[in-house]
Amino acid sequence: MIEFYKVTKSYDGGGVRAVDELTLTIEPGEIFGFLGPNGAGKTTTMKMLVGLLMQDDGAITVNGIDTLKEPLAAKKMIGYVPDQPEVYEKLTGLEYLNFIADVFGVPPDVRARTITRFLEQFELGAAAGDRIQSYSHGMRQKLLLTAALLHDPEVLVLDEPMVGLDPRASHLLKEIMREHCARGGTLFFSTHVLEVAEKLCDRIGIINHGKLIACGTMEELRGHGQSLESIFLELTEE
Amino acid sequence: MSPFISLLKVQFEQALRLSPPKRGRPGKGLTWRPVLLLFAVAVAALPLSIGIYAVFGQLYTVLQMTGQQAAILTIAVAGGQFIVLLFGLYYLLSTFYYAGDLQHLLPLPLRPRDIIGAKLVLVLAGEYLTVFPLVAPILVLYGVRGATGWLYWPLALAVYLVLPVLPLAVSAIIIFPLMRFTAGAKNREAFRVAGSLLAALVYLVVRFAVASPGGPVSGRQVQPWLRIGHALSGVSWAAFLPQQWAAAALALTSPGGALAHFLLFAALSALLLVIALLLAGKWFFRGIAGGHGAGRGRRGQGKTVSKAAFKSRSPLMALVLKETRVFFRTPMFLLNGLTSSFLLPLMFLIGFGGRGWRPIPLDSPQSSMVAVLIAAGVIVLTTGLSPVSATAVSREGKAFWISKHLPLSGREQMSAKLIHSLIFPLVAAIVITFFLLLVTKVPVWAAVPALFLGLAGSVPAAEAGLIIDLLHPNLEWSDPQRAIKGFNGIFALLTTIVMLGIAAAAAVALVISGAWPVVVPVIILLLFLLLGVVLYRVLGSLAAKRYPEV
Repeated sequence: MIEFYKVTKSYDGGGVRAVDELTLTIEPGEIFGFLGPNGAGKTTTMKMLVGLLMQDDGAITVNGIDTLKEPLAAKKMIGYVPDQPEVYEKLTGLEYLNFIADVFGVPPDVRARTITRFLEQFELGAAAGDRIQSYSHGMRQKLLLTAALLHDPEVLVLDEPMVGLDPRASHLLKEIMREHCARGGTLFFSTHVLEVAEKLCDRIGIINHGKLIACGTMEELRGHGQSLESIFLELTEE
Repeated sequence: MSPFISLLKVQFEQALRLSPPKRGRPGKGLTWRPVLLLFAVAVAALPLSIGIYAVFGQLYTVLQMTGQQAAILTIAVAGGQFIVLLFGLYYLLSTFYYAGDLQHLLPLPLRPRDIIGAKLVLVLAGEYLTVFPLVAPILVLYGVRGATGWLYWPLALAVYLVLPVLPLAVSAIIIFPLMRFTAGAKNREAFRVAGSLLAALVYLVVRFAVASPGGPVSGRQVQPWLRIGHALSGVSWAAFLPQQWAAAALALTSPGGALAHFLLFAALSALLLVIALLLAGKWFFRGIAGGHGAGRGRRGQGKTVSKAAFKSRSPLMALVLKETRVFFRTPMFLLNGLTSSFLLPLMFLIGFGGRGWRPIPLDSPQSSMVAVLIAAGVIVLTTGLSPVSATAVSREGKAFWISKHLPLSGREQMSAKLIHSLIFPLVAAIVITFFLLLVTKVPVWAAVPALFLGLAGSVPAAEAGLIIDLLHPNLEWSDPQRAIKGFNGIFALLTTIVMLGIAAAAAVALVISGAWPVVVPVIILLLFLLLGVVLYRVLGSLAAKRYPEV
């Protein structure tokens, strides 16, 4: 479970409120889609959740653990894929995955099984021994997804995970996301592809100028029979 | 604005980081940055320049006795050119081949000569800044004490402006063919690192071995620092060396002779620059065509991954291994690390001794103690010169998010960086000790304590570098050279020099107070160990605080 309570984050000495008193709860077993225009505060929210940024105010908990008070315990429960697939380019794909497995304490037999499975599913096996600098954007994204899933985290945080993926990998990722939640995991992801959000998410939140302006199931948001696109455009209109 | 000027402007903005991304306030906060940068450069360089002025002032006085005071000009030009050549190799490699902006520039409708010209001007500007604190004090010193007319000052400025052109052109003449002909190689990065180092080594050997025609000067006959002057200036008195022309342009009393020598110096520099530009035009783009990626194996071969590939390690060991792999596989990191840890100490040792090394007679406890302390000091200084610790955080660049996301404390992550930072000093210390044993015949019983004392001193030196980088990391780089050539390295070196100064003062105080010679290194060792423990605690606390903030 993920809980945000009155979370606020400002940039530029308080001049720009990227996230403004965000309060939100994402239950176990739930796929939560986070939508919003560019610069609305999606990535900032996710970065605070995974410990890349510190909120100015409010609290974030992961399965009851405060991310500021016990950051290491919280991080152990999270798998994260950022919006930009920046990785250690000089390592090979396999070296990177082993590195992540080592620091998350994944036993050798489990890591061998998991890595082999995902490399095969994402069709990365033949490139696993190559340096990451030779990978395409999509391959890096697949590698980061594998790394995020390696320690079987209870909470998955994916920032625009479909970007750069080919249709097969995109389909596979959706399957993995559903499986993760079917096993009781929590999934918090952002996307600009409204169709994906509409089909995949149990609930959707729309953020604009740092404020959560709408949140609910598709049925709740639809209300008057509108498409998600119409709702999004209407709510985020300047 | 012409495309060239526009490109040049962007290159300088990138290099000086004049356009930090300020959310919501584009353009604000830019004005103070260049001022702060210049101030930082001045603060960092001033003690060095003052030191050079003082040391060369004394050298001038001694050389004046034999009428050879103009030798300091040759030393200035030769030293400046050597530094430009050495760092020019790396600046050129980095700016032309490993810069992240190439992927943006190449698709633009820019003429090759615009890209080459803008990048070359950028490198040249960097070289002016690099040699200024080293060369300017000597030129000013000679102007104040030995200049014969008003023509000296404009010529000194002209020599300073022309000085980096020749070695930079030589570097370019080495680099462009090297990159062109290794572009298709499978292990091209390894070839390029080896080629660059080989070029620097060959230059080093030529400078100090081949070009020095005179025999060694007896160490017992002259002052040690006169020997340094002779060893270096002896090089320049060989026929056909352009630094001799530059020195003559400044030292000759007749304006005609001075101008003629300067013109010779400038003409040769210009000629080599034209050759370099021609080579660049011919080979630069073909050199990048191979990309700067690693040689990639054929994919889709269904390589089976062995069980050994999934070997488990402790988090600390995994971090150390990751640091080491990334460092050794990034050519610019490796080249800088090898240069500071091996080439510079080697240059220092060769330059100091020239061809006049003699076995050091350690016939008294006092002389043995001094030898141990000096050797240890050189090892610690090597750590201070090394950019490994002072760029440990910066080198992660945009991938730093991974470190922040890991479920490991900042303290543990910095411990891994400390262990990695000590690998180079350890190897360098062994090389230096071996060199001392082999060449100067220092007995083993004196060399081994020097090794341990040097390593003990390297720990706080590396910790200081890590603390400096943690306080002000540079994560926004697209060109690896920018990560490793920041001001953090200079501040770390200054910190090491201050630490060595304190240790030297303590040693002198102990000797004056009549301490037994064996006791002095032991007390210095305890001082280093204490400092190491204190700084480790500071580093741990700081890492815990800074990691979430960065």
